[in-house]
Amino acid sequence: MTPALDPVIHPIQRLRICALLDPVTEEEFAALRDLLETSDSALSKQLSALAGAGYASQRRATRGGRSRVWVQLTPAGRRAFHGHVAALTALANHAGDPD
Amino acid sequence: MESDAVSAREALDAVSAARELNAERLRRPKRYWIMLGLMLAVFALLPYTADWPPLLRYSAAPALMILVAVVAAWRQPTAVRKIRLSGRMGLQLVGFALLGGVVIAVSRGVHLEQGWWWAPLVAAVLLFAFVAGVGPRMDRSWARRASHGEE
Repeated sequence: MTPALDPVIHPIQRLRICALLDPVTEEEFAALRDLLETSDSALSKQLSALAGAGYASQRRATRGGRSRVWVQLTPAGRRAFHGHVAALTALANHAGDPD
Repeated sequence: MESDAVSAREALDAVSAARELNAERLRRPKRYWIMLGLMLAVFALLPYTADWPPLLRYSAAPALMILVAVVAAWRQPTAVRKIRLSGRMGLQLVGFALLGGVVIAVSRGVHLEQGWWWAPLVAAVLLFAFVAGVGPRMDRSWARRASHGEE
């Protein structure tokens, strides 16, 4: 059975966020923003959408007097991301079939 | 249908680019491995402090390790990488730690039993060379495997 595309992850910026968070336990918000070359507000908006679906979570930690926000993929988010990538791969391969 | 496939390929390209970026950014800097190698070398050299006064003996090594850490981290971005370790990576890490423990234990043993004064020195040099040489390669392999979702 072909896995289904996930509408929450489908927008390219959210897909990139998931791909960047997938191999790490968590990532700092500022580092993620710099990697994506986006603004704080744009990243917050995308993370809210992922958090709303239960795919991402955030925690605030203070160290050395500086407050930092850490972002992580939840297990459900990781599963959804892998399923979405499998669906994309199937779709791309299927269109390449001669029939 | 064809436009779906084109969109899918574009999305997969974005995922692929993010994975390549991960494989690059998740590698620890070389200074991290030099720091770790120096710390282990200090640990291996501890038998030479056996005749020192207790206060000096117990404070010299931690002080030296803190100095190494401070110098390595001075005005540098963090070298901490929060890679999710797979079972295989965890085993490699355990093997790495065990090897260090065995080298230090053997060098201490022959230093005490056989009186080979040079054994801790050789152990320190070996450990430093191993960690500074093999560490970055292992780290690069971990970063690549974690980025591509390989177990």
